[in-house]
Formats: sequence, structure tokens, C-alpha cells
Amino acid sequence: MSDMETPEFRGRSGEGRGPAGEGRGGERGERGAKGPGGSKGGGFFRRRKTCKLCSEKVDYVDYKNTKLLLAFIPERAKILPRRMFGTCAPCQRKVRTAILRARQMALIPYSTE
Amino acid sequence: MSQRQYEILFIAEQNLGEAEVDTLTATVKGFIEKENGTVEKIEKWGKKRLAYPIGKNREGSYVLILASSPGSAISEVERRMRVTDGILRFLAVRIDAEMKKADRKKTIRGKKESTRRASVREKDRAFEGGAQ
Repeated sequence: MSDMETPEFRGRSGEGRGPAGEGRGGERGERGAKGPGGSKGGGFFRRRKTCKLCSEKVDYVDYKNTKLLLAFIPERAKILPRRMFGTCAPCQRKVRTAILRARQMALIPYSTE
Repeated sequence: MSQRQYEILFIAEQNLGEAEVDTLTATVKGFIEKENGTVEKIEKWGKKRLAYPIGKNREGSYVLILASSPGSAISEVERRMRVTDGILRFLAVRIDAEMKKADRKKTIRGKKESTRRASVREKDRAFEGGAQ
């Protein structure tokens, strides 16, 4: 496709974690900010999510790199909010623009039934 | 006039053969060169299935053109592409600023990495020196 960097993300992160399951990812609970009602007994820990793009060292989010972008859109092909993926604000902006561009060029769908 | 890097991707209609797509590419190349731009690279992706149908097209031939041209020229190129038959969609993106940023990040990271390695080596040497 293109000769630029094409890092891949393993799997589609949207899967298996519905909107309701937000932040419930880690049972082990490594140092998390206390969630709502966290101080009352049996509160769950929130795993601190890190920005994938920063940790994978993606400098330029290319709209042609559909493999990368598909990691950020679940089955319905909607752009998920930042809190689902833990991307940092600058990265989320880049992802958003790239997804919008790719959609226009029919590389990824606007929505799926 | 300052030259800027652009990336132009366009989709040709599905009923066009390879030769026709080539002529279409040549036409677009002509548009760019007419406006004092230079085409640096042409990448043909071939026929790909579109993520959703555009008009009656379910497939389209993608062609990517990397060009450097003055900024004022690109709007004229876009206008001409809009009226050219056979082009389903196109997208022209300026990439030089983004690439520069990415490069700078990369070099900063490289420097950090090398200094860290150097400091580790230093420590190793100190440790070995102490052991002797």
C-alpha cells in the first residue's frame, strides 16, 4: 500500500468491550484512580490506560493505513470516544482526522449495518 | 515560490481499464505540471473494493500521486479534477508539515535512546573498573 511505517495493532480493541464495560478492563487493578464510589467497599479499580499511539511510537497517523485505523473503530464503525481507548488528546485528534479522510476515500466505512 | 508537498489520492471509476486509468493519471499529472508543480511519485494501488458504493461503483482504481507544487496551484488542480470524467473521488492533502514534525520527533527519540545507552555503558564501565 504505502511504503511508510505501517504499525499494526493486534486485534480490534473495540471488540469484547462494550460501551458499558468502560474502564473495567483490569481485574488486577494496578494503581488506578478511584472510580465513582470507589471508597465504598468492593469498589473496582480502574486500570490506567495508556495511549497506544504514543507507546507504539506512531509519529504520523496516515489515513491510508487502514489497519491502524481499524483498531480504533468498533463493529459499528463509529469513532469511539477517548475514554474507551485511553489515547491522549493530540493522538485522538490525529486519529479522528485520519478516519474522516479515510472514510471520504471509501477506505473504511461510515457505518455498517 | 515556495514548493509544498502534497499527496493526491483519487479513485477512478470501476469500468475503466488499466490503460484508461493510466491516461487519467497522465491527465492529472498534466494538471499539476501546468501549475508549476512536479510529480515525484505515482503509486498505483490497482482495483480495490470500496468500503461503500459510490454511485453505481462498488470497486474503484486507486492512484496515489506525490507532488510538490506551490500552495496556490492545488486549488486549480482540484477544480480541474472535479470536472474530469472518470474520477469518482479525490483527496489532496498537504504532508510536508506533518512529515517534518514526525521526523523531528524521530530524531529526538533517537538522541534520547543513544544518550541512555551511553549512560548505561558508562555505568557498566564503572562497575567493571570497581571489580578489578
